Amino acid sequence: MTLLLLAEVLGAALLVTGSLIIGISGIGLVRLGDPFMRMHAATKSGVVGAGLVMLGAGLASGTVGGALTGMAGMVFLFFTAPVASHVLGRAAYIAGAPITPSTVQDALAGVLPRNVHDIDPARTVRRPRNRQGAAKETTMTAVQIRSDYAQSTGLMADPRAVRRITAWLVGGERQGEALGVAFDLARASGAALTGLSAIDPDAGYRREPVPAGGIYWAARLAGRRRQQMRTQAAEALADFERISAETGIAGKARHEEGPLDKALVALAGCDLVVTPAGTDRLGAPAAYRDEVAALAASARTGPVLRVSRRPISVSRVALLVDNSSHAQTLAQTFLHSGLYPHAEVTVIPLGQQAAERLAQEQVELLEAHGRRVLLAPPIGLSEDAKVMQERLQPFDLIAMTTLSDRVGWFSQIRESAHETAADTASLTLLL
Amino acid sequence: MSVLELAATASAVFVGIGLSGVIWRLLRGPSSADRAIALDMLGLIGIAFAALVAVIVGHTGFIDVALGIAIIAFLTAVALAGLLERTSGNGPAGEGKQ
Repeated sequence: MTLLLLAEVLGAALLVTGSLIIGISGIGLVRLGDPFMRMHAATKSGVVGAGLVMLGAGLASGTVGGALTGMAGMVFLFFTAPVASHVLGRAAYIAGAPITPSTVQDALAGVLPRNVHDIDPARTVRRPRNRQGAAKETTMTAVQIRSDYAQSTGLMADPRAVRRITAWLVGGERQGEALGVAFDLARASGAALTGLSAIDPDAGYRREPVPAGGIYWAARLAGRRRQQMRTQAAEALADFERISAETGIAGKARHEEGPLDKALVALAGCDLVVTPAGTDRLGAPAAYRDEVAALAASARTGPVLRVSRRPISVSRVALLVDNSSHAQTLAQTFLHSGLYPHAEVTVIPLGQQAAERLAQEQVELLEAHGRRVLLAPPIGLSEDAKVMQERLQPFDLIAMTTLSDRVGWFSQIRESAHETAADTASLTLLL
Repeated sequence: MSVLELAATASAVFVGIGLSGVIWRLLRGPSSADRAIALDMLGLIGIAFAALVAVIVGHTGFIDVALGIAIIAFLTAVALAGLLERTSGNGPAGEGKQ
């Protein structure tokens, strides 16, 4: 009798312990950062939890048969669960499940094949909002340190960091150059290339009371505009597919219709967006504020490469560091982006003291990653646009933060710096 | 209510917390690997619930049910892993690699 009571109490304790472990692992499944960590929570503690609950139920049943079944179940779980989790983890890695940016080293890089990650951007994108403080890391892969850069010398882009490139097709005279750069990068990195055309069929069409006959004309005009936009999009997509066929690089064409949000959703999840410089969504020349590059960059889905000319080679990169909060992570984001790993990087502070200190930090970071780095004397904020243009002339690529998400007194200066830089270099990288 | 039933009821609540986490992850994703992992753990939670039902109802037969769920969950995990591995490289998005 006492033996039965003992079994009952022991069983109850095992039930509670096991179920507590299951509860904790459920929390872990929600809170942990990437599929591999979640697997750790789900399988390890899940198995111990479920095993203990089974053993407890077996003991609590009070019969020898029940206890034996419970033990058999536990033994079975202990044999099968490690196999299941191993196989699932391997499959997740091969399928390209995202690794959280805080992971320092990817030990399986080069050991197992890895495909482009399978996140459907439509379900994961969040509406862009102004963020205070440092920009969030959006890179999907771990940073590769040092020796890997030596191996990838001669490449335009690190194949491990650049896995998905989207070329935003808007038409206009610089579209061809932008497509050229996008295909160059896709060839160099082996990344999957998507040509995205996004139009807003309701742009400029207001549903409101108008004078007699106005509704007819408004609808008719809107219909014609829509027709034009669709024709243009179809031409851009046809161009994209033609180049894709000529160069033999597989590209996926995609068309989105709807408000701007929808286009930005389509951009999410890619490692690089390539847009033509100084062009708005309809392919017309536009001011910096309205062009597609600024739209894409302020959504903060990832680095945006703004192309005004297709360069022969990119050997000199300038990093413009001002004292804004986003500039703190400029070098880091540039390293994560994996673009032009062999190019010489020059860090140029915009303004004095704070910017210079930030620039010094970034030089150290870049050096620690084995890049060739120079620290240039600062450019004063009050200096003439011509001076700045001269200073920026020798560079093929200018990397800077998107500052347009801040308003106030400084936005004037920043915008002028942007415009000057943007007109000078053939490539601008907005991080 | 005996100590055992009390413990089993409390355990069901804890497992329910785990279940809500699993369901959240299953719906949210974001990658299909996440869903596969959540499904794997859903099996484990099914095992735990079957065992708890065995205690609450007082019928040993439900422990056998738990054993059955364990076998099916294992096979499901292996099959899902195979599916993930095979289908990930097929789309146009995967052609550039390897």
